[in-house]
Amino acid sequence: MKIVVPTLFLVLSTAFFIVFSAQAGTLAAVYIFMSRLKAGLDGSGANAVQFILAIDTATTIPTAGTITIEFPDDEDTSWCRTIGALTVAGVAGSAADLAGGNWDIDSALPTSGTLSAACTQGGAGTVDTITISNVGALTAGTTYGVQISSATGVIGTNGTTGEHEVTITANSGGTMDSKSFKIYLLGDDAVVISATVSDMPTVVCSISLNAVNLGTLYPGGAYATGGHTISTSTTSNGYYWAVYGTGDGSTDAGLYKSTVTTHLIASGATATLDLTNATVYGFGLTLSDPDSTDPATVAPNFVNTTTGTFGTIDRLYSGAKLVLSQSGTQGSAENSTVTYGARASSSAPAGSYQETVYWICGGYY
Amino acid sequence: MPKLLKIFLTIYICILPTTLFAAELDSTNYKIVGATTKGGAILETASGDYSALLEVGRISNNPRNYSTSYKMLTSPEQAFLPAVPEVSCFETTTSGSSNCTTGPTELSTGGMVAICGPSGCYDKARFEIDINGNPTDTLYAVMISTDNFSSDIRYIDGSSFWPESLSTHNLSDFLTKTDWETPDFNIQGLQTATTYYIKILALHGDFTQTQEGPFATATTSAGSVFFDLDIEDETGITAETSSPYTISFTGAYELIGGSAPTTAQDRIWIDGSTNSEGGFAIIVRGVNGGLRSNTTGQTIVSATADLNTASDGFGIQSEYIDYDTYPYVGSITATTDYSGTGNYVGIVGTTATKVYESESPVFNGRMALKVIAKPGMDKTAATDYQETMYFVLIPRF
Repeated sequence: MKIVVPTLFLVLSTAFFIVFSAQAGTLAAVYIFMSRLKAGLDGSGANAVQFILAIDTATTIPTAGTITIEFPDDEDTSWCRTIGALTVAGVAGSAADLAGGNWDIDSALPTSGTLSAACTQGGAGTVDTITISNVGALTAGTTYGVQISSATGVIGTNGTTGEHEVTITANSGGTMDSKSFKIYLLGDDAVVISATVSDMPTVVCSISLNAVNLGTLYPGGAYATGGHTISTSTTSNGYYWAVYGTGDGSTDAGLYKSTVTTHLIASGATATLDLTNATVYGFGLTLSDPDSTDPATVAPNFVNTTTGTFGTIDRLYSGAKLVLSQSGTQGSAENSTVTYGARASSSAPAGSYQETVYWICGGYY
Repeated sequence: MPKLLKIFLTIYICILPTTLFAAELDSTNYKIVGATTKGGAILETASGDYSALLEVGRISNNPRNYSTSYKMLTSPEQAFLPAVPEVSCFETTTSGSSNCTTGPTELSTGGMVAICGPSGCYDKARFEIDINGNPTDTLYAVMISTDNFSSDIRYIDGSSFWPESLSTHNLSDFLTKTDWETPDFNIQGLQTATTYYIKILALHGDFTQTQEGPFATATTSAGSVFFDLDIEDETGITAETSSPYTISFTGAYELIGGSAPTTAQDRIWIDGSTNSEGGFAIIVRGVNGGLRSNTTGQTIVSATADLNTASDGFGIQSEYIDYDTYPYVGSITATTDYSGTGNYVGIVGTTATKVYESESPVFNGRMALKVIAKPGMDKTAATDYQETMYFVLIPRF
């Protein structure tokens, strides 16, 4: 009996452990949200790596447990660059959460005391491991979040691009769930956006006078002139001036006598008016070339090279005519002299005549 | 020596108690195994789930009694014993074809890869039962092991379809063939990269549980994930480019203070694939929170905004999403902030923000992001406005 009973006890005990040997369950859900996916980060400065771990166990894990993150055996010392304590804190959510599913962090990782974490390096038969200790009870079906970053211990990444298998294990007193899965490292995880910003182009336009008096026109007499200057500078790719008149408000631009008896000295339907011709009456204008050495161009009908010949204008914005333009910037202001010319027919009644000419200036961008 | 003999004898009795008193009575035609010398019989109910009929003094119903033509039934209930079932398919990572016939069409034509994603299933499997002519109301239980039932012997729970221990295995874990095969994945909760063995046994009335059929094996996937970045213009659907990844607002795309929003010529192309059950999230984070000039100290701040109406801003907008279409795997969507049109952009802030998401495995995902910027009139001209964006793909297993 001295031999049989102990032996029997030994055999039965062994049989018990064989039958009830612990089988690690699989985690119901897990992800690791790494702040960087570049291979070969040494964990220092701008190369720092942080982890957010979301974990949902399939089994309720008792309090005072641990969670470990284990890396491949042939990647020792690349994930745990420096052995030591890590900064750890529970998080109640992350940008990687999948709303409404098991991968949606429900609450921060519970504690039993104060959470702590450490990074240890692998060697022969061991692997780089991040261990979170003092973990509170983990309820199956609840997804917990925890963030880990370097402190004394330094987290890095392995130098090889592609898939790397990690194993997450939640364990307390032999009750454990674990899961192995892959993460992916890139040769470069950054996209650099660079930009040149230039100042907004400007165009500066000015008119020297807003009222021009042509003096007295005598019916059937000589033509009269008057004028002002326009000035332009621009940082854009060029500038333009356009012009249109008002006239009688219905038929044509030109000098208009709005009182009884009304009368219009029309700008006319022709492109130009040669007011030196005794049979020609009307209203028009010319511009001088601002600078013969630069690309500013006066529209052919409005050049002032032929004395007494003026370009005609139309009424309304829709009738605006381009009179001056330049392709290219104009750093300093340049001027053009505008000369209005008018000649009244012999039938023109005496009175006050007026035309409002609108000048439009803009830039080419 | 006598002590050692006693120890050996005791161990032998404990481990192999049934063989100690058995005697084989071989003949040319019949073999009787397990005959004992004691008589009597008792009927004992062990639990609500099981009944055990213990009989001694009869010929054993050991399968070794069977011959090709005859089967010796050792008790009346043996007449109702169903045929021993077999595993007609047990699959995790098959690709392109399948031996499973009662699952979804995608499985039959594409294998488990078609319903689990790239590289197949990492935590679940499908098996089907060869009933060997049993009636349709025959129930089956499934044993599972990682060591061919040496020490790891578990069953599949009939409700959760997860492995369970012997202690929680009960009659509710016996299901008909139809009930077992209705779920697409009738074994779940498996470990990745692990070989599993399963055996099936049948039950058709009290005291009719069969022995287990032959085992079948399958190995789960180790998981799969792929991620890549490329820079190319809007036509770069298939482009593959190398780092460094840069996009410039220069030349014809130079930003002009106070002007309308400008879209950079190149796009950020992203590849993403995984078999993770929870799909993936693609996250972006910036270093400066906008395009910053060290020369001027000014930043074109990134924000989720319509740059047509905002006076100033910078961000990204999803322009292209594509993936292989499999009914059983997932799709990719851009999150709301990044799925606008026109010049509506999502933020590239200093905190991480989700740009793309899939809720289940994805094959060959391909995405493209526009980069749009609008400097306000207050931005001083400089050539060194810059932001560095980090992209991260997180598979959710």
